[in-house]
Amino acid sequence: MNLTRIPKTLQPFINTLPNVIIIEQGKIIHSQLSESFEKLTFHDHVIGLPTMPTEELEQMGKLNQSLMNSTLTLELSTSARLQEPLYVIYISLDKDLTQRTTLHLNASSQLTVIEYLYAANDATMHLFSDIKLSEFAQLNHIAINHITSSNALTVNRLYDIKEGAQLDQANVLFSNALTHQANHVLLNGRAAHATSKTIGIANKTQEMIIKTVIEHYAEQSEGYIEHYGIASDQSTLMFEGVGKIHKNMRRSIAKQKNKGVVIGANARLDANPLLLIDEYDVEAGHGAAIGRIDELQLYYLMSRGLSLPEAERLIINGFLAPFSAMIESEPLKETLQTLLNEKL
Amino acid sequence: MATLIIKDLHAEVEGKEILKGVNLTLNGGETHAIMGPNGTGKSTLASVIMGHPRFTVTKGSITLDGENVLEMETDERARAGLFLAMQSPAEVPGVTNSDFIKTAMNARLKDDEKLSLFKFIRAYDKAVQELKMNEDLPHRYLNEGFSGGEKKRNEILQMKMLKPKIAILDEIDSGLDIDALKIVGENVTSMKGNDLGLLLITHYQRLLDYIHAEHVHVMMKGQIVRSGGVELMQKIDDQGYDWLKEELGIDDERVLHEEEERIILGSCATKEALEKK
Repeated sequence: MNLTRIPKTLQPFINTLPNVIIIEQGKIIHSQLSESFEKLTFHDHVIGLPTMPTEELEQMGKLNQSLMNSTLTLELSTSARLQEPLYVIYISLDKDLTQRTTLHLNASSQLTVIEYLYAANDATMHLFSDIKLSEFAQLNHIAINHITSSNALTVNRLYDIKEGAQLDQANVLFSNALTHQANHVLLNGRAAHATSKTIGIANKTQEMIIKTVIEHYAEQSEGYIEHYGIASDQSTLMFEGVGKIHKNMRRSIAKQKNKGVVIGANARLDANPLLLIDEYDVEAGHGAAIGRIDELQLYYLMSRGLSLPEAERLIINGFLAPFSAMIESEPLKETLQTLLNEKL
Repeated sequence: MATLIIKDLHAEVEGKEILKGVNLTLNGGETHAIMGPNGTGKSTLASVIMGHPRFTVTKGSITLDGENVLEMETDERARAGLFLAMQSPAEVPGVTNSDFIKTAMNARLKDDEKLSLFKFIRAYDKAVQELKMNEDLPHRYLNEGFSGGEKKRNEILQMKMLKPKIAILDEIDSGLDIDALKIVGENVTSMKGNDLGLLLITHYQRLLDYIHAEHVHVMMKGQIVRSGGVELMQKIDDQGYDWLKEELGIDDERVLHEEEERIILGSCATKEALEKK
């Protein structure tokens, strides 16, 4: 693999990944896939956008369409079940990147995708993903944002989940940029299931807005939203979670959890959990716990000899644990740990 | 050999005085038991020694080998050799047991003498076996989803790994069945020797069947009202506390009433279940 254009910080783990596609400045510069991936096709032709569920998303889609300078389309054949994860690395070094990614999992197929967005210098990054899960498909989608510049990052993803299909979605936002992430999930088939978890770490004067919407357009559909975050210095971190169950979508479940820690007097963290429910026969709930680090947890750790900063570091690292547990690659786990410690 | 000296200690929580002049000297190699009914300030004493953030010391002193403990932060007290096995230890999601104990052990060492992973795992596995705990323990999150008994054993596990000079066990027996109590008792007894100073806090003499204590103190109304040896413990075991209350002219021995205690200290379901029996 020719790594000359790949930033040094990424090289240690990129080298160890078995199945990887690397896109740099709009071109696929490297791809290496094992035999089991022959059922996955990918190319960089443009595919049109689907109908958008909201005006906001419609706007973002149009903007992406007009500025788009990089595309990736992935499709997995019916019943292909890939056990090994696929890593997709987007690198933007000097130019702004406006990326369109389309992913379609055909019926009963299964895939784990780990997306890594890296931007340096003053590049901005805008990503629009259109993801479709056909009947009984299963997708684990993990997205890691590592933007070193203080410029802007926007992420918009639209998921269309058909009957019996299952989405497990996790986002790790370590960017230093002004960050807006919106994931919009449409549960369009009976017993469709979506879990979306995000962890955001905001520092300095950063603003980070994390929005997750799960709309239930089918009976017995399940949507779970979890937002975790740490806001320090003068940063602002905002969680907006929406669970929307439409009329007649009986026995659906909409739940969400928000957990955040504020460090320092000038940081701000807001959680706005919303449940919009137009049907009686459902299960729904939301909760938010935002505040300082638990005093009794600190006391307990300190009573064993850990200094206050050590105890805080351990507790905050604990937030990341469910996310690193989803990643197999040890070098990538270590990279995440380093990024977290650098941000705090 | 370490010496912990507590003199005329007064402490309050939210403006309410709970400790009203406690005096106690604990030397390395000795085992003391503090007994007494619920709500008399026993656990508060343990928490104040460790520096619990909710209590304020208003008067008196605590010294460890002449050093002023009250001026130290909680972590400094721990590194100076104090250890408290807590009644209801906090749950810390995302932090694994083994990471936590390793960090705590390394916090006591200089940079150039940090513990090797191999040595740590060997010592940790040994302690887990001795306490007959599950093998998945190192990877579980600290106290999260632990049963009452598992939490207690985990406290003793930490004590074994950290090797304190002075250890306070706050109701280590509550929530333990007889088998678990026996295991905990054996493990604590095996740590006794010429150096470890041990302070046991309990309302039941049952614990003292498994961990022998030479000195017994009774606490009422936020003070130690009577000290003695094994004979005092036996008398309490036979006759309860009423004779002592009568002798001292105490009508209500408590400083904390149940409902207050619940708000201030939180309640322990296993403890309550035991008391109902």
